[in-house]
Amino acid sequence: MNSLGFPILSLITLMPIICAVVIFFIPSANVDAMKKTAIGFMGLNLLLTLFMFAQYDVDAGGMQFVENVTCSDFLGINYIMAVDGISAPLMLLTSLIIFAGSCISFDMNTRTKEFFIFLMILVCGVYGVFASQNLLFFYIFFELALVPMYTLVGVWGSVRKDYAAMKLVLYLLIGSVFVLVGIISMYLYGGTVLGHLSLNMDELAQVPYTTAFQTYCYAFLALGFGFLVKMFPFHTWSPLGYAAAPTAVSMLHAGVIVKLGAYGLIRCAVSFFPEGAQYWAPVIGLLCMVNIIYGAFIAMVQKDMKLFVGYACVSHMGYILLGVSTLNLMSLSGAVSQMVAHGLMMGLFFSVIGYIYHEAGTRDITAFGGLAKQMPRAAVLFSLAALACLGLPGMFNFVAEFLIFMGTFTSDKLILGFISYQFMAVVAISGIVITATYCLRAVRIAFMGPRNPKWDKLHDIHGIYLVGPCVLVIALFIFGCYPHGIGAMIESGVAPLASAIESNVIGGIF
Amino acid sequence: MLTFQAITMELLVFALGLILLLIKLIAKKDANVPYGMIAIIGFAFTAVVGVIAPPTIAIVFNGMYYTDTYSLFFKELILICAILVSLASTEYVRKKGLRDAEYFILLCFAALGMMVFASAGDLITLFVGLELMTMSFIVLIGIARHNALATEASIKYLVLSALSSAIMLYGISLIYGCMGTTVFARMVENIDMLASTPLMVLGLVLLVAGFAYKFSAVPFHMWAPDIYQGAPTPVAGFLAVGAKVAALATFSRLLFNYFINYAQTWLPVVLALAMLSIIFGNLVAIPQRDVKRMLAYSSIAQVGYLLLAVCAANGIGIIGICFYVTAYAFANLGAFIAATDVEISTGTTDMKKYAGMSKRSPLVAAALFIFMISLGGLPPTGGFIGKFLIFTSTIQAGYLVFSIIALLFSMVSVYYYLRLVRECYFAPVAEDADLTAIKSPIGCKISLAVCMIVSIAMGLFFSPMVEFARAALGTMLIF
Repeated sequence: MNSLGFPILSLITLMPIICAVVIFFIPSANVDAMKKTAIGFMGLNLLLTLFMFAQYDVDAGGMQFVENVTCSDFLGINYIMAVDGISAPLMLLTSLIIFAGSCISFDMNTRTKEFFIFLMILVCGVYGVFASQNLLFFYIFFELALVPMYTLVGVWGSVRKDYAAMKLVLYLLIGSVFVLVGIISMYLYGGTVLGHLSLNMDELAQVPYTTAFQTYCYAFLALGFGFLVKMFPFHTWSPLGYAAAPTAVSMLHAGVIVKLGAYGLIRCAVSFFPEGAQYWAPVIGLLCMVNIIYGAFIAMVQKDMKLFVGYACVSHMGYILLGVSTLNLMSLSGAVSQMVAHGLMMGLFFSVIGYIYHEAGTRDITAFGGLAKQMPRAAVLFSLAALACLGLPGMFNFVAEFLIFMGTFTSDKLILGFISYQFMAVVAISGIVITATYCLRAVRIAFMGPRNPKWDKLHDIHGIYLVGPCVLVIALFIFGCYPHGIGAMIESGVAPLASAIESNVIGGIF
Repeated sequence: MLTFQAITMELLVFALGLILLLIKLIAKKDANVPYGMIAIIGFAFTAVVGVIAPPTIAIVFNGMYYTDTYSLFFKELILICAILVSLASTEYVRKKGLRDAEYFILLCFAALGMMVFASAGDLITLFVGLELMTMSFIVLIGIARHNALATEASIKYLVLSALSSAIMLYGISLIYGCMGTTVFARMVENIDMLASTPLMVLGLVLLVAGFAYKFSAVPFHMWAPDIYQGAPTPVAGFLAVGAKVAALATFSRLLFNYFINYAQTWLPVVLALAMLSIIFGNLVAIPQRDVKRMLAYSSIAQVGYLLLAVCAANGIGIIGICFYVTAYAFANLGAFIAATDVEISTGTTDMKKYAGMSKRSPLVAAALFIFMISLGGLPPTGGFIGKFLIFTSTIQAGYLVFSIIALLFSMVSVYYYLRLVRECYFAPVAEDADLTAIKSPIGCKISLAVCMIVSIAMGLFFSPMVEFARAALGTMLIF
């Protein structure tokens, strides 16, 4: 049992399921009660996560709040829950996003019961991925976070929802096939070295993997997680998926679920296979350049607000991948920070867009004009999200991107023998300029133009709908102005990975 | 006396069949005898006896019959399937005006045939069990005498199973000629005598082909879709699950335990069957518009995964087969029972008619969702753990490329499985569509609930099942 005396991580993970069960027994007519139940439970979960976050001992570092229950000795499967400096902030991010998402879903009146039940199952999966320290449970939770998306997008979605739901699920499942092959390979390799089968991460971490195995297994894992993290050329499912998904799902999806890919890459691939990570780093480095620049240019011409944010997300995932490719302490911390910062920012974007769409019935940027006059609060929130997106100092995104760029710039490694990481940093930083262009352009066209009388009757964002975005904005500012707290935690989680790598050189494939 | 105690379960099922026959004989013509209920109680009693007083682990009747944990595992599974099928059938039989006494009597003998088949220790016993099962099914499939589709299916099954039985028997006779015995255990003693004579190779390949007919592996699959579509839906479920479970049990025992030295002969054949089944079954299932046909093609693909594990020929593979076949049985049978339930009310198995199912019957829609996820091998269901074990075994055996292809095709299968879910949950409903609530008969409700709970429980609490499968593997290896 852990230091707190109760299984806090299981409690956080299973809270959504408890909530789903409660919602299941609420009579179908009582729609408001379901929404309030969801908000209440997720609020409670947010408090629990904050408590867990505060109790985490940064000085001690490592895995904390460990719960360990043996499931199958023969297969080496234990139910192990624990968090370290990487997963604790991501748990907090999840709680923030789902709380905001539940609040903003207060307008959900079609088949409310099923909606919240599926949403809760999805969230349970997300928590589980961050907390579980056994690869089988990691994978089970991972899929649990993907499968409900099919019905969530398919039933409650908007644009081309049938197509988008199927495309999204198939892409992600095909990605997960490669992850599964990687996991089974580790399982069997570890089994021969340890003398008994095991899927527990702490035992698998003890195994000395050969360089050949590392390169081979890392390739599978990176390919699989690459689908989820939207690495070019596997990104095409995501903008469509966001555009089709209902607001809360878009928030969770862009905010947290794509981070599962990046988290998996760091947790399963980089930490077990440092040499494999170095071998494949140049490939990831080059592909993420495409993500950053190409995604940003496509975002510039989008008219649908959700598609615009979707491509912005493709571009920003490039920064996270750049951090993973550079492989030093600073860039890896930057990558993890960027996951949190980007998640908060995406949540903010989608919650505001979702509200506007709910009110106006359209998301076409050019249709709005001077929406700031009719919806000043929404305009402010959207502008804050846009500013966070372009990395304005004071927001957490600035800290994260700064760390990634610094880490990349100080790296003295070369790709293909002549492309230095300094050069990549310069390219990536120029991506910021494009980001600024498309963000400010969207704000100008949608909110700062001449007043469009067509929208005079719209209500501004108010009441319960305001809670979610405000929570996210506050979090962005707190982490942005006082990055030391969360930064130290992330660093304590990343340091062991970075120390395994920095002694070696990068590359090998070219 | 001891020997007969070892086959208590078989005797009980046999007695059950006879009792039903007797009741039919003495009951008045218009008497309302609950044959279904009697059959369910009989099967359940047998299953419980098997658990409380498991037969002594031994080979009885001079090597002709196994009573080990491995065969017990499959017999229990067959009995549970029989119970679920009977539960779902009671209302179906009444509604369709089928002859209920004959229906349940034949169900008993089909189950008995499967049990004998699964525990055979001798090629002749194997054949007897197989034929008992096949004969019962021929009549069961065509029991709706006035339905042209059913009669066609029945005749088709008769002709094709006669053909496959002939092929298998020919193979058996060649093996007997080479080995001088039909008892598995004694064949091992003669294993080097005629190791790879062309006759032995031919015999083995013909035997494998005969089996392939029984579990409808490509290219011996042509009968399956037509017959599943024509047969009464619960019978199709029993055929798709029970018959395959029984065939697979003996098939993997035979190849893994006794013919492992002939691996160079059967392995390429079985591997080809497996990969063809996976690829063909999954691709052809995509355009199907009838639920039963879709399930037929999908079960062809499912057999492919199981055969892949047979090819792996290692311990985890056998555990994986036991686990996966159980998960498959509950999910696939559950899907057939759901189809039965819908057919009782609407009279159709057309997928388009499933639109709006989540409103008409939330239970059927939710159950289908879980069964489809389990069949697609996604967590948190038993299908996932089964696939995990199977692919662990195949990757361990070195079939990395085949495993990746098979896994990718299993994701293709998710496409058509989810399409059924889509119909239930969010397909546009036609304006003239009938949206009255579907009242499921109590038997269907119970069996659907059992299948659902087991499918999920196997995905979350897999350890007991894995231990049972390990015990089964342990006793199989002794002999």
